[in-house]
Amino acid sequence: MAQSRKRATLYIMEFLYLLLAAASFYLLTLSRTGEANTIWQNLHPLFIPVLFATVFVLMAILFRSDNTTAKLLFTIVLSFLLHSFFSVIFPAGDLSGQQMVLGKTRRVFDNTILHGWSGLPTQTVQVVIYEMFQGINLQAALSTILARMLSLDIFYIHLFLVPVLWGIFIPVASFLTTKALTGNEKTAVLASLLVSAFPYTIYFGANSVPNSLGFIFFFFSLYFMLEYLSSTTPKNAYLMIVFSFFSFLSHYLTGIMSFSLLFLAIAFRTYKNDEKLNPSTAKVSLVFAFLASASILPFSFVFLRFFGTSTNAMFTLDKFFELPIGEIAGLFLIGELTHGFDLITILLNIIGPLLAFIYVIYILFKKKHRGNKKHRGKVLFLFMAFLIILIDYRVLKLFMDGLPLNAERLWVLRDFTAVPFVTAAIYAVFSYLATRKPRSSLKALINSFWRPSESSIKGKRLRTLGLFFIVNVLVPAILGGWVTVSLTAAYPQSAPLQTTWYELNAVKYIAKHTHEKYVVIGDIWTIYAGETIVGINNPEAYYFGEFDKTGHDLFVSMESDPSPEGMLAAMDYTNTTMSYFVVTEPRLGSEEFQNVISRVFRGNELSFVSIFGDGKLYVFSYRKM
Amino acid sequence: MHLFTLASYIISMVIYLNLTFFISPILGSLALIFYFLINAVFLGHAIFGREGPFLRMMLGSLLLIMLLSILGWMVMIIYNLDTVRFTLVLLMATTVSSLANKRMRGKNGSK
Repeated sequence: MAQSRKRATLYIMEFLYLLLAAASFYLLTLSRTGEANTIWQNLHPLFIPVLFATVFVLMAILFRSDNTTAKLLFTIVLSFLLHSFFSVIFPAGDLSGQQMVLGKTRRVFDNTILHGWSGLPTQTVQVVIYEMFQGINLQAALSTILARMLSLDIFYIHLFLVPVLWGIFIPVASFLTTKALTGNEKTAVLASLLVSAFPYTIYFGANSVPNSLGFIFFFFSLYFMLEYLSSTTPKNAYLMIVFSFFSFLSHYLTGIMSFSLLFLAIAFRTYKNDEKLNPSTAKVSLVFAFLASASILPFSFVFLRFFGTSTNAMFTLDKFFELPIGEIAGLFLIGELTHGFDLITILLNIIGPLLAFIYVIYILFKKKHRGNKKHRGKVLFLFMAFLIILIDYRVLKLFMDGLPLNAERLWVLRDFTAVPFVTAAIYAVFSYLATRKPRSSLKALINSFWRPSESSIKGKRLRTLGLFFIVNVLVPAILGGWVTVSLTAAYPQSAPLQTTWYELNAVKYIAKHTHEKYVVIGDIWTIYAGETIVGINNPEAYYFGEFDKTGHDLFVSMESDPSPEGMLAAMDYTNTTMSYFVVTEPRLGSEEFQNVISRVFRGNELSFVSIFGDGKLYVFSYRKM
Repeated sequence: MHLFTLASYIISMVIYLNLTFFISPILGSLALIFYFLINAVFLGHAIFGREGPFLRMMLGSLLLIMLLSILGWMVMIIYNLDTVRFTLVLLMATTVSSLANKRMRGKNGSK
């Protein structure tokens, strides 16, 4: 009877969850806008409360249900929702990075380039190798294959590629890693959800860039490394190598980190084999392996220049001479967060790793936890991986300069290694409270739920109350609130105006109505819009790259003197016969925009093409005679 | 030849025809679902046979995505990924997953 009532309650909760998840998706689609700076500007006011309710109910399901498959599926639905904000709300996803990737991917999709994307002018052997293995090529190939399979334009596939893959596979990777570490399926399922409580993890899961794809493969490589430590067959060794290779193919950063940890995993296993024969030598070898693993990433940045890239990474002590001691201490402790972030954002970014750190120190030094050797070895390995990431971040931040990327990307890897510990810590707190003699009313309440054998009428009442309070209110509210509040730190609160619907329409209009080779002179925002539709540096429909100085200079010159000379120079430079000049009011500012427009009309040399966005965007053209 | 392998080859050809003549996202979605179902199950069985059905399917899908992307990447680096070469990638992925299923099923999933 009690069982069937429990099952019925669970069915109702699952139905309620699906209803709330559907409502969240619906409210997110209602928030879609063609003109906004951040996702928060147009987010439906009901969305956050409904999302909180959704996570709240899911948490309650995770604690009550025994069906791991259903719980994982529900988590995947929520994970996809949390990572699809950019793709659903903005017309062309988040500005800049992922649009550049789309611009390059489109060239592959349209078959306008051969042998993958190539961005460097010189073609030495090292450059060819570097370009072949750069992440954009793997992502472009995957997006193109999926777009062709679905017969859809690459635009939509690209926008949703990472949110979908991340939404599906990161909870699975988190589940598997935590299960391998703790051997507890309930903890592992909780980890699959809590991985979405880390702001940087949410942000990268929402952006279709090669680095995000690399993070997915990194997480799986980490899981297979843990499995490899206790495995007797070569399967896990092969799989950790394969996933590390894919991590490298997707992105340099994740690949190097995967191979660093792979090296550590092999050293760790060798240590375990040699430990009994020669313990001191084994320990020294492990320490050297740890140091070597931690050194690989910083040194690899220095050696990157040998592959023809423009990066000039180097070790330096400049920051110690230039920055005040307080800032150095801040950078060491909380990294970039020391620069003007509010307390809530700082807390949301550090609470998980801090909790993980404290918990690991606790379990490694507490005698009674030393019993399970198999799990202890894995805990040690994962903790070493966690430490390597912490050390590398500080080395990149304080001792290096000229890096090709921001060191904060390592936070995603840090969070991946922290998630299993955080979840295990949460689970351990409840286990502790459940096994201790009740001394306080809260412990009595919790105890009454965990130890049903101590039954009396008062005990039963307390148990019912405890069950309701802990499973349905306290834990879901805290953890659900954590996941929801993390979104405010994950998605930027301020940003430039995202690519607007009228910029996209203008670009599409030009592409549709021009039947010859053309070039577009526009600001960087027009370039972003253009590359999402026709690709970067497409010889048939040329938009200058976002870092192209020629394109920038041409636009500045056209802005001050909108004459045919600038248009002709652009056509000569790109070997085209038609040119367009695009100006947009929100980008230039009303006064400057009006000045440029009146200059064009006064000069009467460029042809007026069309207006978009109710007069916010003007397009002019000039044809080579 | 295994019935599902044959079905997967046929689906690859349907995808090619859809891409060349019909350009229907609905047909494409159906084909993708069946293609993934067949080949992800093959790869899941071949390599993660000891996991539960859900995880086997998930890991099989991930392996299939990796297989498609690495084959696509190689074809793209060699020349490009036009419709014909893309179809070749699908056929190659089917062949690899079918062979993996056939050869490794007996010794799969050992932890």
